[in-house]
Amino acid sequence: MVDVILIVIVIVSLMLAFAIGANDETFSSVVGVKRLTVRTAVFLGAGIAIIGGFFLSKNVGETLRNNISPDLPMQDDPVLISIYVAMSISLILASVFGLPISSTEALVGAILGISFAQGYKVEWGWSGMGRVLTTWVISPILGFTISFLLMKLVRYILKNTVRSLRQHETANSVFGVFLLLMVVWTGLSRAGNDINNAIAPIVPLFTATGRVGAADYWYSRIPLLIGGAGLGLGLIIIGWKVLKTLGNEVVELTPESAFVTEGSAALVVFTAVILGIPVSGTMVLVSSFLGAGMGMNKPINFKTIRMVVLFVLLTPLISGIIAVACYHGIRWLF
Amino acid sequence: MASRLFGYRGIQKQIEKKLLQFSYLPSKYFEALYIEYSTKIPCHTLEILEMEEKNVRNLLLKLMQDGQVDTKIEIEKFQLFQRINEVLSKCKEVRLLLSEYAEQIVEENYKRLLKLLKKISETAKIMHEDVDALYDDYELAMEKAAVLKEGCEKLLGELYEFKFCDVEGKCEYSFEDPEVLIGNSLRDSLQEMSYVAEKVVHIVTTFSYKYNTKRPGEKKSEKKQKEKKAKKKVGKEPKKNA
Repeated sequence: MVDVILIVIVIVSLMLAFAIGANDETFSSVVGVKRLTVRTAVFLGAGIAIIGGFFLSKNVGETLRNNISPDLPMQDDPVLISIYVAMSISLILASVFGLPISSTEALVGAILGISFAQGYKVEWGWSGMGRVLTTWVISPILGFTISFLLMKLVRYILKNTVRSLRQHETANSVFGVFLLLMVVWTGLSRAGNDINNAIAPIVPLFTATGRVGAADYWYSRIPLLIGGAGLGLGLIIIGWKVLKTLGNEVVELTPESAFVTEGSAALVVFTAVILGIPVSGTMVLVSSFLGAGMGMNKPINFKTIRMVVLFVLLTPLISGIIAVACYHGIRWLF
Repeated sequence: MASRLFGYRGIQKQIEKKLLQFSYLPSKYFEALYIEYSTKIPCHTLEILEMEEKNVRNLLLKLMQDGQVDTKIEIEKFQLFQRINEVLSKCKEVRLLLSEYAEQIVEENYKRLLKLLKKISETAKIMHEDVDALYDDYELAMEKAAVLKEGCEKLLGELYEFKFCDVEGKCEYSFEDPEVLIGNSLRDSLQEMSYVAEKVVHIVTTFSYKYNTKRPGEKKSEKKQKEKKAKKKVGKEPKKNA
């Protein structure tokens, strides 16, 4: 029985890594300005996911933090599996439709679902849901506002400096290079952060081996490599849809607007981390697209935006329902 | 892939160089036609120019294909190239017609034709300067485009006189008259030059941060609103009458 559960945990860990990769929108702006084809972007993104996951993941084995429902036993296998399955299915479902969603949303939805179903107390204060809800409200506002203002500033600078087609092309080239560097860095750090959540349950399998020194270090990092590979595979197999939607169908990107989008998203997330304000990277990036689009007076495809918003609103609900169904299924089976 | 990552800057520079060379060819071509038909001494300049045109066109097409990333700026540059290419194809048409009918044109009209060729050559040079200015200074490009359009319109007016006058100075003509055939080709060349000016203006208004202040969709929505208002008015008027 224990072995079956262990196998299931390994599978769902990989599935979550795959799902996170499938919903990774980091390279969408580069695809939007045609600096990379979708195919090149997914393969490059996959490589970066493996490298970032393997080398930049600091807190190996850190489990999913749960401040929303403190009494919910997160280390309980059925609970853990249900949450992972719910998150994976929600992320993959959104990815199939090419829509970027926040993995935190799926996680919160799953935790809330099981907590409500099992009658566990939900912490609605600042330490729990209050903080999460603030994140969901603040992230889009900050992302939109900062990118809108930054776009206006960049346009003002360009208006006074770019006066010919030659200068325009040079500016595009410079912005394109900076954009790519920024995206590669974001991809590396993001893979380093995201991978922890997915591989947390399989980390214990690769520790306490009796090896010493470097051998132990490399052996303990095998889950990171597996997680990175899962992340990369998700990006290659389904992730291209999200890149295509966000890169091509929300707003017509130019190298400077793409740079502003990525730059403002990075700036908001970085500042928020320093100030201790909770933000969602995905929400900030998606709203940055809108802010940059508005800032450069480009028409915005509100049909796609409506779909994104709809999925953002539905994700916690879908994730919660799947988690409850999965939890009861496991309990019924074992 | 590295070239793509850097936005094909190297290729863009080559395209710029070749596009400028390409845009200078019509002026050279009309100048050569003017010299050849005013001196009546055949020379190889036109053949050399046609060879140059062929080489530059093929190279430009290859460069544009190599540096293709499907962005707006590349599409616009390709369309500009197409319009200059149209001017050149009309130039060659003029040459063919001249070689066939030049001797049939009456002397007075022939003199007019030579003057026109000289003026068209000068106008074509403005077209080249306009394309050059597009890469150097948007403001200057807009000014040159206005001068080019004005020059084309003026010459089109002169062509009108040229093609309508026959041997006896009567304003009757046949579509098979050499003057009419050559005149029509010259008119086509001038119209294509005018289209080049329009394309330059379009590129400046699209990409210049100074000119491009309105949303692309804004004009359409304004039109739609006007149409809606007009429809409402039309719908209301009969009721009032009734």
